[in-house]
Amino acid sequence: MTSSVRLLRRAPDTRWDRDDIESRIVHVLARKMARRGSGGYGARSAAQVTAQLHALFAHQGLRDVEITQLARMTGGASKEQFAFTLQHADAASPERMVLRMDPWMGIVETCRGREAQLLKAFAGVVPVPPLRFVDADGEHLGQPGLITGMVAGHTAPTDVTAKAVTGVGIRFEHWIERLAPQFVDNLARIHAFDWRGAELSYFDAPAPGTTQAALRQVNWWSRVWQQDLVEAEPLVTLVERWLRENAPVCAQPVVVHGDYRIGNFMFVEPSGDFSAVLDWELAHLGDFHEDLAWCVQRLFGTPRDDGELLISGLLTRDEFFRRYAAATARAIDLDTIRYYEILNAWKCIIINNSSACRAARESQSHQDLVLTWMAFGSAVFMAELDELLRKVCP
Amino acid sequence: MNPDLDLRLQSVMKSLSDVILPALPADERLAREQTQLVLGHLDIIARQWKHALNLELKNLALACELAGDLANMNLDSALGDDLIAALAVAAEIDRSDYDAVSQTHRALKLVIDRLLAPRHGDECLSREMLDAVLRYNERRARRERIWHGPAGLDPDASRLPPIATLFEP
Repeated sequence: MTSSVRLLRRAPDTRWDRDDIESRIVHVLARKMARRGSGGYGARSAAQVTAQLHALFAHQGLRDVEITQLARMTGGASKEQFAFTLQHADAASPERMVLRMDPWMGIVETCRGREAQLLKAFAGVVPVPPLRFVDADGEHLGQPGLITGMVAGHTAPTDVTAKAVTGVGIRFEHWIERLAPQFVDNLARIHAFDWRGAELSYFDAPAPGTTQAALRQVNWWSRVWQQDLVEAEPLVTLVERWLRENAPVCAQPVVVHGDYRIGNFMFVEPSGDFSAVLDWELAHLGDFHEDLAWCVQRLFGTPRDDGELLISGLLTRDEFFRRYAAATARAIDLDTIRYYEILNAWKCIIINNSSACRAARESQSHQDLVLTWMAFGSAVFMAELDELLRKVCP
Repeated sequence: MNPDLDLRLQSVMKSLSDVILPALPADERLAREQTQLVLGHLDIIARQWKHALNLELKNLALACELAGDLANMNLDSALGDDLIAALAVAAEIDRSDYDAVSQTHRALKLVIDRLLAPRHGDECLSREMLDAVLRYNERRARRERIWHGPAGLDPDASRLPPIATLFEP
């Protein structure tokens, strides 16, 4: 199979080229801006969703379609999610499925087509929900959406009590021994995946051996900040400069999951086997250090009883890096980790402080209340960013 | 004022937790989740509302401090003039008017933002500027973490002091 990923050649000086953003990302951000000001968005009713599903399945050529047991799912801070059972003339038996659809605006603006391509590409590589249908531009569903088979499992143990919002703050207790090795192993598999041989036409690859991988991320999120700004923050602007001036070279781009953390993997009980790696919407081609640095953010950790922070509630930072290096034979560059820790904390401020509040202010999501709640977290990232910057600029 | 705002908030929360939430069907998961979040927001608002103007005054004062530091550096003249003009506006506003304080604070930060924004061909960020922003941010982030602490998202939430400590002399 030949690669359908575009390899863009780095311009002679991309340092300040703020328009060097993947073309599909430019498209979804422009789509968001086109919808802006078009009024309030309300949660879809069961009748609306059923009608939209019928429209999609008719387009797919399915006959005698029956949609039953439609139920709204909670969790996540972006998409509207529904479980339903589909039966049609050519199906041997009914199948329980999950519909994941965009509201007009969420905490992040991403592409269901990209997510669908990755679910297809990673089937059999790591556990992922099986892709059934995709409507990348919302032609039939009204808004972009994708449908997967239902996966059994939990994001948190059923025998441990802890409060959590969108997966943050989960405690795993005695499950750690079983889950931690799989957490590292699946990340290693994602990074080892040969994306050049996969159908990933919605992705533009950064040129290897350049700073384009990092700068593309800076450009993407800087544009989001400009579009969704609610209240300027001097640190955010200052850090953008630092990120442009200190971008590291990425030798070989890999698939970066982009949100690999607690709450975004499922496992079955009692075996503790991973049943799915979820939420691929922020995935892109880039530097593996970016995923490592995302995992170690404080907000995605759970403090152990002795106070030490466990990465995704599973293992200490040193242990995580040691096991990842052993699993991949990759050399982890701590300066590059530090760069991406800064980039990720900066990006989280943009998402929480700007996009979440903008979506809620403009009433463009079915869960404005969750978005304003998530915005409380931006102060943690501001403090973290401050601490990180002082380490690199002593 | 009778009933006062605290009593009204308390009554709304009691109605939501004791009457409305138990009446929601178990399969209405979004409605149940959002009702819990409404309760969470109201609980935080109950702790914050008395201090909202004071917080915005402190935020404005801190932003004025940063603007003053930046104005004392050798800046591009047009941007430097904007900064001085914004500081002059901030000095004149009615400090008992929450909206005026909040809007002035945001407007001032936008001017600061324009000054810090990266432009093609810029020289690297000066150490002086970096230090000024870090000094500002350290205090601002600490304040915001305490203010939003009751949400429980902060990994150090249990170690953060109560909101009222922000306004102790």
